[in-house]
Amino acid sequence: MSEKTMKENPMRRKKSRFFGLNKQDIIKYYFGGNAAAAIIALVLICWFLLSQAFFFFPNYRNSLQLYRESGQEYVDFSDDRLQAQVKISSLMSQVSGYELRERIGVDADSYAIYVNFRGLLAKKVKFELKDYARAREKEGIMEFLGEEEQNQIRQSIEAAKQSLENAAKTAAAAIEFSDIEDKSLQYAPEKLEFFRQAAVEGVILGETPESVKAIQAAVDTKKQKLLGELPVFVKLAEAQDVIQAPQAAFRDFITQQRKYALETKARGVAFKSAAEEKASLDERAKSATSEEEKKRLAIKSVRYLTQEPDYAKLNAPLYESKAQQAALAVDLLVATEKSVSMLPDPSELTSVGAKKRLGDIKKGFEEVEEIFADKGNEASTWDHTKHYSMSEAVVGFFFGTKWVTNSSWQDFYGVVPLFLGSFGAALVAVILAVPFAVGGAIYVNRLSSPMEQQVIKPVIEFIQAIPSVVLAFFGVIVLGSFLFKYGQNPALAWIPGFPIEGKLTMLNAGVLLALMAVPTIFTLAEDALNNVPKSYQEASLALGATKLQTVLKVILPSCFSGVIAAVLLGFGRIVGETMVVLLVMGGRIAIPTSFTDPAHSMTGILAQEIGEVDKGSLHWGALFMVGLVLFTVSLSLNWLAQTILRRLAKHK
Amino acid sequence: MSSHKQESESFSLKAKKGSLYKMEQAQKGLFILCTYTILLCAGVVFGTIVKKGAPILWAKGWDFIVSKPQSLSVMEVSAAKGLELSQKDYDLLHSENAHREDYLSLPFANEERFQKESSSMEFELQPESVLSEGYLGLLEARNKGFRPDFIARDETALVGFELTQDSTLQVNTETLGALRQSDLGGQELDVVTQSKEEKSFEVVFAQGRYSIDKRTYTALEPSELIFILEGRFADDDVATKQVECSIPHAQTLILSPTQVAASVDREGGFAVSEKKELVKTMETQAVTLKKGVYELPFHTLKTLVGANPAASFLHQHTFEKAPVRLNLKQAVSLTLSQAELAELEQNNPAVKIGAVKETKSYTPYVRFDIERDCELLAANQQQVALKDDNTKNEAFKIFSEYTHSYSGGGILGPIVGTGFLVIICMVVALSIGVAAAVYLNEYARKGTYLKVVRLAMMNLAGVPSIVFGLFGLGLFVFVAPKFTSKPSLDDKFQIPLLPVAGEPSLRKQESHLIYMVGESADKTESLSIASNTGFKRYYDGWYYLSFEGWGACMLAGGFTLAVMVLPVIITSCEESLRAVPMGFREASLALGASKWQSVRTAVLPYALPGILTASVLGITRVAGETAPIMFTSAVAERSLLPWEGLANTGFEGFIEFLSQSVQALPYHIYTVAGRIPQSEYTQPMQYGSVLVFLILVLSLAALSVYLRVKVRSKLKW
Repeated sequence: MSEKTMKENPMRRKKSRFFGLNKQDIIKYYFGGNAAAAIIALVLICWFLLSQAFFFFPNYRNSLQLYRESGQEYVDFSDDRLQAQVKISSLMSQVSGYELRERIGVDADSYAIYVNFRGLLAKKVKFELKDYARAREKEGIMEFLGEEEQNQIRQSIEAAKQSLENAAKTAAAAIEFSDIEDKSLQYAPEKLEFFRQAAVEGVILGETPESVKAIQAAVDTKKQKLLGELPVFVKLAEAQDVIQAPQAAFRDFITQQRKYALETKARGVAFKSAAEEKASLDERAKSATSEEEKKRLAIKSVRYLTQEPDYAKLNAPLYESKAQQAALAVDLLVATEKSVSMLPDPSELTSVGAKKRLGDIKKGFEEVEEIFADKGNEASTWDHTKHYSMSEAVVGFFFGTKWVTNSSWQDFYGVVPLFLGSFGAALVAVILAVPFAVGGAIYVNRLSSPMEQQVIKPVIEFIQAIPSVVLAFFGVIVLGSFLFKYGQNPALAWIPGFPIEGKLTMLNAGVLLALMAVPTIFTLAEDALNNVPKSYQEASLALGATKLQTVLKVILPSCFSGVIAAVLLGFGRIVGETMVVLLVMGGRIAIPTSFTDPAHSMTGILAQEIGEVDKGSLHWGALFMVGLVLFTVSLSLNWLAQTILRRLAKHK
Repeated sequence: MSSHKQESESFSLKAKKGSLYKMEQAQKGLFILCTYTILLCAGVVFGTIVKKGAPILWAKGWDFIVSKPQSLSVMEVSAAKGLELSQKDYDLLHSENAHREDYLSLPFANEERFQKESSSMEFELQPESVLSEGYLGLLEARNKGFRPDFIARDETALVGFELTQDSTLQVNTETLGALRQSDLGGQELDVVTQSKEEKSFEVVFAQGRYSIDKRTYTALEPSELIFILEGRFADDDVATKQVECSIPHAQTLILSPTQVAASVDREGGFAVSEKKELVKTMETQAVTLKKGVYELPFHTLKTLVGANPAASFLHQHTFEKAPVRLNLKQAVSLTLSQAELAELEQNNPAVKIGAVKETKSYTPYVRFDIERDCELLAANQQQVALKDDNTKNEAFKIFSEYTHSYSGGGILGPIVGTGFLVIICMVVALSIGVAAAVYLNEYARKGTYLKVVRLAMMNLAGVPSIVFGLFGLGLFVFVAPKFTSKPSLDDKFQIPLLPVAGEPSLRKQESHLIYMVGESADKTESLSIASNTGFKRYYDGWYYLSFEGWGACMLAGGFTLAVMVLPVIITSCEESLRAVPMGFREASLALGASKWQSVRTAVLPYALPGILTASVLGITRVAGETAPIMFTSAVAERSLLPWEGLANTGFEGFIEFLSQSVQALPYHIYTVAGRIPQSEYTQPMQYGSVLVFLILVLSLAALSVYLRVKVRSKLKW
């Protein structure tokens, strides 16, 4: 007892020291060290992103250098021109297709509608159909059987058919035009009964019924007549012939050149790894267990070619073809120009889609001319020995418009389509979210009753808690179909990007991201509103302004930068969001032209590809580089918002 | 001026009281609309999922939560009578179909419950038994948890096999010798000798440059000719493609006639200076064996089976690995069916078995009829059971079956996986976060350090979750240090710590590809040899801190999530510490307590409820995240729960438990919603798991709100 009291007596306690620190100091430094966890984590994140992405640019430069040395670049100059021209010719056939469909009218889609109806019906009467098929299997052996058995079989078939017919009729009555997946089909409402009947017949017969065949035949005749006689279609057909004529020669030429380039590239790639592989073979030969194995590996190693390929010699056929290439390109351009001049006048067309595409052709042709001039120039001055500089590789990453991976031709890592996808969706989201979130914050903070506040605030917190993958699922299964269905509405056609052409689009992702951004913006905006000194409001009210006037003209302007910071933070949060953009945006890697296009995103590409690439490869480096861009973007957004908030706090 | 004008305008508006009032109302209406649209949107999302998911959950009931995910089979089955299925599988079959609209019309009839008898042999496996690999597998499959170590592999152990008919077998001299020595049941060995001429060519290749085609290359690639190809042949090249090549020095080789025909003296082949034909006579021997049971040394049987692939041997030996001498301390009691036991004894002469007795067991079964053809949904396990239990029922046919991956069964695996990830994450995050918060609120003084910490925390909170995933992949999966006695061979950096007591068993060495470094050997050289011969790890009697990363596992996922949630935890813990009044600390200090004593006794206990709230908030955050765990820990398919099938016990078992990859609920949803083909059959799994997930996360969120309100109202100072 006495010992214990002595020990606890602070006056008597001898402070034990450890590295010159007493117990209290150690505890303090322990806690301080833990506080450093955030710093360490941030530094480590930076370090890992940088270290993995560090060798990307030199490696990418090497890859692109080989792309040039092997002559692939030269072939792509030709290919780009061909692709641009083919785009024009495919637009022409689209013009023709749209116009034809318009002129034929409602019946044009009859067959497609019938097929859809039959498919829907067959699904509903699956079992009756199976029974009927099984009953009919015996038909084949009927001739070997007696009279009585034959009758029996006939009866059973008849019974099965009857039950199928009954079931089909009932089921068909429930099918509507709106059940069809493909919403672009046009139909006449009064023909519903006809299609139901046709579907029933089709299901029972197992082939297209006569009534549908007749319509189809009528459509075909009308089509032939239109194509053969109407001047618009004659003109279009002639123009198409002209534009397509020189394509084959150019395509063959490119295919031939491609072979040379691929051969050269394979040798270049082999050379790059030859020395290393030879060394590893030697090493393996040394440690081989059996004599036989040792000998085999040694022979393999001796056979390795370690000499650098002679690119000048390998590229000789490409240099020789320069004149031919130029001549073919001229043919192509001349044909395109002639063909475009042969097109009918827009006033001759009736279909809106056809008119739009005709306009696109006119616009596209100017681009084609430009591409031909640029690429032709580059092709004629192409030289495989030209050094590919580091800055070109850097520009190629940050401003490249192609993200192509696992290609047998050449991989390109251009971040622009991903960047635009990420920002496009986030922008749609912010535009949708800001009015609601800020409006909501104003209402809850200034206008609502305390009871409402107590309900709305937790609910918005709940929205924040909804996991992003759940929202993504909602987008895939429900929202996509909803937007697609109502996006077809002609009343919305004036908005650019409408009618929507698919379920998984940037718009779909944007709507979901908006829902995710709302809680962040709402909470921060409400905070900002809260921080406005009470005297402002009192002064305004004392001057006779109404409550709303006070809010809109006094309070909102005074906390405007706070609201901006809230929006920036919300934006930062959704730019970094992964699951929604991965699942809902459609995953098409191309530069989106409108906000209803499918696209891919920086976060999405990381989630999709990083699990499948080899550690340390060029692709791996590219993905970490994307990660670094993402990290930088969100940090700067965050920093900007925080700076604004800090200024605001100081200002007060 | 303009403001003055505006004001006068508003005054004039005030005069027309009605219109101003209306405008005010309209504007207010707009704000109300904004607010309630948000709530409506959230309601629609929640409502849709509940509307579609609740009936599914209701119909499937508890089975959906407590069974593991499997693939789903959609079968069209025929009408049949007297089908049998175990009670458990029968119930699960029902619950798999229960959500369907036509469920009530499923034509099951005449259910009859009975106890099905099954008999099995219980026996004791004695120490020193020698078993062939195939039969060891059989024993382990039938007896869960039986996973013996073994002392050695024995190539010369006698193994038995059965010949199902009289056969003539090609043998070499060695096999013949072994056959002569073994017991053939009194048979005379009838050896037939056949002789065969074999032609070959001696060819001289001169130094020089050639142009050869693909056929030549393919023929000579396996030979010993040294030639350097100045190009390459791809798989899709035509046979006539030519590539230049050079022969660096003159060589003489012996080649087979086919090789010569393909590569010499033809267009696209080598032009050779000399060619000489050689003829050699080869002799082969064959014996005829009657049908019956024989015993041979393992390696002899291996050669015999290799030389006679068409002969009718009956056995379950696998020839990749030799029979094992089991390392059993005492006899183990095991069960097998009667036929299996008989075969085991017959084909493993060196196995020691004692105390055989027959045991009978009864399983509850259901006998039922299917009255007409119908479509049945069944999880993989039930589908297999249905087929296996009714192989003899001839009326029962399956017309067609489709498999939908991950869409059958329940979501037990993902729920458990998410649970463990959350636990690991919170343990790590709280132990760092609380300490950091204590420092920031109790100890820190204004200064650079504090500023930097605050800045780092603020920025960390803004990092996208997928970047945390990248970070976790880079750090925890590939680089993090691991305490192990069997470091990886690929890893360059490791620190030796302690000597190890016992070396890994032979079984472990094989399954983990461990290279045992000998005492006398030069370590660096033998390690480089080991890594070239397919070993993955090595053992040299030391524990190492090896920087080889943890691999994609629970621990890596938990740590990644912990780093991600750290700012949230620190901030909210700090808040709860700040809420403790200053007076508590002052009073404590005034009573003579040290700083730490006062923090421990007067601050932390009162901040505890707040810290609890913070941790619930943190759990809500991490449970819903997918991106950080995608490549650090989550897998789509895994048949075992984390605690099942562990090879080790004790501390090593715990480490093994933590280094497994797991299924996680958000990742499971990602898989079923985005990575498998969509159909009406995959929807129940989608809606079911989404609803369960949503309920889990939202109830956590509700808990955190509730706790916060409660803490605020209760603790007021």
